Amino acid sequence: MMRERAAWKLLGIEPCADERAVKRAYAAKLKEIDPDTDIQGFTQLREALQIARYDARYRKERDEHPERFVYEDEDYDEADEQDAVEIGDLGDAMFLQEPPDLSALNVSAHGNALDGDNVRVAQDLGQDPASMAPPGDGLDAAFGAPSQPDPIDEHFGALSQAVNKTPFVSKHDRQAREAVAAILADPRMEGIEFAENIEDWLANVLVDTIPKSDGAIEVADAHFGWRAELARATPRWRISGVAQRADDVACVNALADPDHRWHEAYDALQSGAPEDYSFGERSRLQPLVVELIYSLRQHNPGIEAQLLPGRVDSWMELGHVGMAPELVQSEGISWFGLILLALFATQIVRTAIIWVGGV
Amino acid sequence: MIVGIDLGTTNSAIACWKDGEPALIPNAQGDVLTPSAVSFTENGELLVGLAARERQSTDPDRTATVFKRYMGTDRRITLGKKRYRPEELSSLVLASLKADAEAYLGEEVSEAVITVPAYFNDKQRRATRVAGELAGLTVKRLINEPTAAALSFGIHERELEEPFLVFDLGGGTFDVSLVEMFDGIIEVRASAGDNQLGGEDFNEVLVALMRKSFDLGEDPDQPDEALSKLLREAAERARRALTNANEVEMRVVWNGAEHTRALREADFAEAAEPLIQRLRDPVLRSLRDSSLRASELAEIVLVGGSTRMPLVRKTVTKMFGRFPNATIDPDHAIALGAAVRAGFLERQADLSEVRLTDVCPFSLGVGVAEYDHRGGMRDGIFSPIIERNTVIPASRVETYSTMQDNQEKIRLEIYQGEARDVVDNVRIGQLEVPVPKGRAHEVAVDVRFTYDTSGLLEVDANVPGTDIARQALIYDKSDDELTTNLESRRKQLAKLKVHPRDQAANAAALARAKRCYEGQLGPMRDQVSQIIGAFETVLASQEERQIDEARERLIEQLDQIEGENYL
Repeated sequence: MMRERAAWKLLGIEPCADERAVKRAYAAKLKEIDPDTDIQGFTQLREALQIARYDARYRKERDEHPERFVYEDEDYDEADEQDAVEIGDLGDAMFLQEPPDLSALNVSAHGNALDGDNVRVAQDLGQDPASMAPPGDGLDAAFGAPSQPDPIDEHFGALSQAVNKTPFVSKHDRQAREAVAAILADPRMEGIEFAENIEDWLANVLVDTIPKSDGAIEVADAHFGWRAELARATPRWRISGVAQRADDVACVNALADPDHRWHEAYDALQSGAPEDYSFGERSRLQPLVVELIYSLRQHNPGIEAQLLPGRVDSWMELGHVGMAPELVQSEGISWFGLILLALFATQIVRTAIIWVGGV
Repeated sequence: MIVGIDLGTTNSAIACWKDGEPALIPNAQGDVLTPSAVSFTENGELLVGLAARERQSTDPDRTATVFKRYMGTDRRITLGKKRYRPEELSSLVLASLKADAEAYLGEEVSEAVITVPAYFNDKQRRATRVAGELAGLTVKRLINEPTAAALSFGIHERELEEPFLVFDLGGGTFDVSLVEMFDGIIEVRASAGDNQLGGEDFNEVLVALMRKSFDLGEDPDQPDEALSKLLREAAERARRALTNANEVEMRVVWNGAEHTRALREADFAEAAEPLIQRLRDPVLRSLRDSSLRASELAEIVLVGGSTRMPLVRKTVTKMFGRFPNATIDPDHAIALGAAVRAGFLERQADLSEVRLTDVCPFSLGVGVAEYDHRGGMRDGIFSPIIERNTVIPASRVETYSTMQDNQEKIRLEIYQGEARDVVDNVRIGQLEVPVPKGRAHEVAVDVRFTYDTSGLLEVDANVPGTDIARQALIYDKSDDELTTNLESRRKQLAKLKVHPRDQAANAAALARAKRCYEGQLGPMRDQVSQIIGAFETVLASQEERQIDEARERLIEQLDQIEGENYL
């Protein structure tokens, strides 16, 4: 996998913050090769272009806004506490009068290393920070009546208040859902730019307030199809955060069903070490737990991260047990039909590794 | 000379690179658009183009249109007593274009770049390639229609720095491409589309409206093919008229009775709403795939005849909050772009500083089994290796592992498409790889997909740490039913008696007059009958100049009766 230094070297220029220079260098190199015949050379050049392009954006952003590259953990907690004080207008004021620099607050709620702060900021580059503000403001001019208060602002305020409430009760969940639904019902959503701004803004707010925003994420996901993002090679970062959360929640909900094949296995992972079970129980559960873990690692790594450290390992270490035979029969799959299991990291993870490596 | 051909659903066109720019080649009638229609006369002569299209309602059993829609399917179209495959009918259109180019250029034309909708799948592309071969053309490249449109736009706007979006709504297909240009590089960032959405679908909406409001005495369970063609023609006419008016009349004459219905822009918009909705998805998909935002786009470029519809323009304007760019001719852009691509292939000096990179508009991958998050193991899950909108040529590797202890082999079923379940994708090949014994999940196979610019997919599988390696080549012209007996089928088609090229204009005028006759009643019908009689008399004289004059006069009179004809 190509790293930044190799990418810049291949393009034949010094690392810089000028995306235009990257494209120029790429164009010059492209004209030296024949992509039709030199597939390997072309593929590498493309990869170099992608990497250098993102790197240039990252450098530019760092040069222009060094303050965004400081991890603002304490500020973040303070903001939470302020909202916890039940003063209705405070949350509102925070959102509307002082468009929060959400890109700086863009911290993954599930603490996955790959979703880290730097990765996100890097992906945010090239975005006009103003577009991160509640979108109603910026678009007033385009849609008339700039002096009139935009009704959508009320819904923004309602959402921000609801998801910042502590303690968070079902009433607030309902308010958050309703606010999201009202925002999405705005007729201006027909315009793609407007919809894009709303989508970004919602994703930012909702990712920052996980798990309180779980219900609101569900409503937004139904509209935007966020979960489809997880299957993509180059997911949009802010959105993949909420998408992953939506998928994790759906997964945990499914596992809570007593009829679920892995219900017991999930219970075991949550509540007990293998030693707590009798030998018979353990032997019965272990293959299921291993299946579940493989599945979680592939689809919902966030859930594994929430389990007790070491718990997964202790179940895995029990030794390899073959596939449960009844599974094969019950699915009615012939032996050669049982082909493959994609175990390796998906493209998502790869891209992320490049980033973590480079940052 | 390599020519560029836009093989369209409604119309086709051919162009070449000439004197430093792409140029359209006129057909025998002097038009640069040739309707994609094929018809046989009573004495078995083959008509292609306008003359054939005019016969679709007067001779429905011997005339075929919109066959591009069936490319890559097993559907047969019956003309007279014979049944034809869609690619055979397409080849007749291509052969006619080839003859036009040869007459215009004064040299033999044997190589071509043909455009296909970006969203055409492997089978549809293969059928298009076969159509070219059947017409005696070596198909040097199949290129995506929106890419071609972008080329013809880009070659004139070389200074444009920001990415632009090509919105291509044709007769039968809808494509969107995002293109960026810098330093002589024309780069397609993403393509998306719907290969069953175009002007013809808007016609069907109007046909349904007419069926509902006209008392045609038709058995609803057995729609009459001749009536369908008549209604479609009326729909097309009304839809085109709506471009310049807010209210038009839809009109057919059937079984000696005239049926009319007023059509307002608003009625049309309401009836076509489901189609309008479908325009949005590909736009969003292409923006997402290229990580571009609508606000970053410099232009929204309209291409394809159906973008002339005010309804479509309004929709685009609403979608983007600004007016689209309609500076290029929507009917010509694709053929011109194909000629630019042909110019690249010929390494024309004027183009030596320009490079084009395109994307693979669909995902390529294999079917796998996996546990879904509900705990069930499912096989037949699509695992993409080359994701859609990857720049080509591309080469990617993925690793897969066994699911069972001591599994003996891994069978790779190769698919193209976007659906999660492989059954909904197009299967394009397979490869079996023997694997060494081992525990489930622990025996791995590296699968490399390499997809090149000519549409060749190479699949390499090897087991790391062993010398086991297997390879498969999948080409869009690989062997199957489509390509069997290619040579003898080509000879069969070549044997067809083609209506003389220099008579094409007369045949078209006469066919139009006959259609006009059937569409009129009473005294008007008599008048058309007289005009036809007069023209036929002059035709029999074989005096070329007189015939030309008489034809001009005939067309003028027909224009007065039914309004100007369209292409």
